[in-house]
Amino acid sequence: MALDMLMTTEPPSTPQKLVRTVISIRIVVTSVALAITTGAMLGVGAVAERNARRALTAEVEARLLLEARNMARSASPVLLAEFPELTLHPLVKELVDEHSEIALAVVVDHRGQIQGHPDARELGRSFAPPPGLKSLNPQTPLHDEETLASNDNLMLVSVPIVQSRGRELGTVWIGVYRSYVDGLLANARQQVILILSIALALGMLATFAIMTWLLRPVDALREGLERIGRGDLETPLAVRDHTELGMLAAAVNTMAGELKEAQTAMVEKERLAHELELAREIQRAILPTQEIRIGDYLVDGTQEPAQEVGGDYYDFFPLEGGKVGVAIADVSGKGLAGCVVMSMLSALLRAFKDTHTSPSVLLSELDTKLATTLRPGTFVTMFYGVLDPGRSTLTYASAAHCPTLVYRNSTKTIEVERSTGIPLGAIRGGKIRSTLQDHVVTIGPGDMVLQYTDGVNETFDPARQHQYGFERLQALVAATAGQGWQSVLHGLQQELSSFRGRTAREDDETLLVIARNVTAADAVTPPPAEMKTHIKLQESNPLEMPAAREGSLALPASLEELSRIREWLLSRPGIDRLDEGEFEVLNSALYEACANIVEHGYNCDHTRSIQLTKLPDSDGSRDGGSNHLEFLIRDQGRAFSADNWVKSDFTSPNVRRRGRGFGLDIIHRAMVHVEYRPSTSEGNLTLLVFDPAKHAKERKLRYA
Amino acid sequence: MHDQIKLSEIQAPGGAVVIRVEGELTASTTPALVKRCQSIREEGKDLVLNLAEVSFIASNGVGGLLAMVEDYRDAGQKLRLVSLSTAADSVIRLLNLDRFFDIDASEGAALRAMGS
Repeated sequence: MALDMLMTTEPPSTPQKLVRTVISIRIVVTSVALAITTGAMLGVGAVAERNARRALTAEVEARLLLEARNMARSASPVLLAEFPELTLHPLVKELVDEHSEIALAVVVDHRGQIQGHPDARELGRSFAPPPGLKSLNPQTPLHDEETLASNDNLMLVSVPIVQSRGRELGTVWIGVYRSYVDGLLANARQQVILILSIALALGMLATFAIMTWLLRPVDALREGLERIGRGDLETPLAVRDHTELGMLAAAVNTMAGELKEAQTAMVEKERLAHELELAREIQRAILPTQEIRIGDYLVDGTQEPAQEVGGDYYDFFPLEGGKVGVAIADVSGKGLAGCVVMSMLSALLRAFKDTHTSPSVLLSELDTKLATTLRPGTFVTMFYGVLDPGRSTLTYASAAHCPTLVYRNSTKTIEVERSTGIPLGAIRGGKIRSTLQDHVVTIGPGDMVLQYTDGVNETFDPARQHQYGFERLQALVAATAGQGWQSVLHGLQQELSSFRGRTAREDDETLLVIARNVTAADAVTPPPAEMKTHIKLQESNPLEMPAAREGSLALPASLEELSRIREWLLSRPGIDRLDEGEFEVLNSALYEACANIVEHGYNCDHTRSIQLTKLPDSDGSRDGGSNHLEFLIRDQGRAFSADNWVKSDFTSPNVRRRGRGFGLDIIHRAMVHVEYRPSTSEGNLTLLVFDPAKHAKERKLRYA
Repeated sequence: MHDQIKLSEIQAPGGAVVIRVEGELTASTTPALVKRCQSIREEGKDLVLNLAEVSFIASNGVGGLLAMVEDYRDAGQKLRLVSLSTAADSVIRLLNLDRFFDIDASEGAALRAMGS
């Protein structure tokens, strides 16, 4: 029996299974039944005995009275005759002899002399009733002069002997041993006890037997439960019983069944969690491990995964021609399905990256290839771009992905580029192609292009009332982009973390960045404050005619006239500090700036005029090594807009073949600061700041 | 009028042509140079441009030179610049264009480079 095993082996790991004394239910029930029944019986017995005694006493009483009255009737005529003792003595003696329980039988005459007695020697003596008599309550009604009394030994009655005329002739005394009554009672009691004991014994046995029979399923139950405890949930308890035990067994079977199901479900769940974990690892392996640095550019990405494996993805890789492809995507729906789609997308992108140079064409291609695999209702938003470091451009297309943020270092503001496309997989049949377009963004020094997934801007606060939102994201980027990508990243992580509070991430947070360093060649040092006041001064003197200003050069708007710049420039103070090369560069830049105005501002109308002024030198001691030379050009022609100017990429043969349009390149390369103030009250103003130090190191070979 | 240009042409032994440019290469003067250079190219000859006396070179001038280099390259003919004046040298270097030109210190060096 398993219980015995437990009691002997006592496994140390389960100290609760003590050796315990097991008292069988049967014994308990039987004992209790026995106790109750016995108690009841004793109670009943006591009551019964009292009643019996009374009845018996009444009966004895009645008999005594009967005998005594009979005797009295018999003795009545005899006492009137001579020598009554001769008749009475045998009568009394016969009575006593026949009834051994009679202890006393005496006939006494009116003088108190014994006339009848079993013992002849007593005849004639005076009768004295036995001592200690106390009268009893008769149960049978007594006639006149009759008494009923008892003492310790006897119970006796006295009946008067009455003549027919009522004259009392004597008394009959008859008494019985009290022990006679007790004896009768004792007999009766013994009988009852015997019967009752037999009945009790039989009853207890029957109880015990029935209990044993009823409880036989208990062992089966116990054994079954122990089996379940060991983990065997397969074998049901075979207890077919119509009492509560049967119900108990059925309940245990049900419980075992449910336990088994729960166990299976948990095993399944663990297996699934494990697979999800694997999926997440695979997914992470697809992501780039390292940033790309090319030229001035940095391409990098980061992802903070959510609890559940999700469908966010980003990638960047080199392309032909020194370009870099960047991609970021988001699958609707999470879990394994999203993960699988992402893996496919990654593979497809890598396969086709060199086939299509146009991002919108590439995205359409991906849409076509994915269409067969995406379940209806699943779609992918995606941004794909090609960074061309040579041209400083990013050409991109976006299939319904989040708006692109472009941080402009020159203005310290954010531009937002929104997507026009529909997601991949949204509409089958290649319709996506018409919604996609290649957009070109020029990236200046210090600029930053940021892409992300909606896990970022849709981060919820702990109350799930508000989202982090697009505006906050913009504000953060604007605030931190100036300090570089790492500042943006850390700033954003901190903000998201504190916004989210203690709640877990619901969605992957993915970021992709293209950042361009500010190199020494592009370094644009902001003009010292004084320059700006020069402009202000200019603006506040609208009446001053250009020619009147001393030192200014008034140029007719004609290209041929522009060669006068050189002569004028040579005569300016401070110019003699420059060496030949620096001078030539400065001269060229001023020439080109004026040529622009002549051509575009005035359409070569030589009757119009351009004013060229060298501004007084700023205090060199102020901002350290400031040998800046500042020039102001003023014209009244059509305003020039520099917004659409893209730096010429000379690496492209097409650009070189163009043969023209390099004027702005010369100006911007020559100057450290170029500022346009179109349409002021003084006309269009162009401020140019020249720092010879920028070109000092450009000095290379000089040819004779 | 200050915009003037003077082109002096020399036939070098070996078939190449040397043009010595004197003056300013501006929007108005560059076309003349370009036209001459194209003719020489069409004749199938190699060209050496001596820029020692170029006093100024505007963006159009640079552009013209760049375009010509492309044309000569496409035609499989050689075009070399020599003796860049300070003006020419400064602007070309300002735009990092020196990598696109074959520049020599002297005509002799250029002709030797071509001849080999």
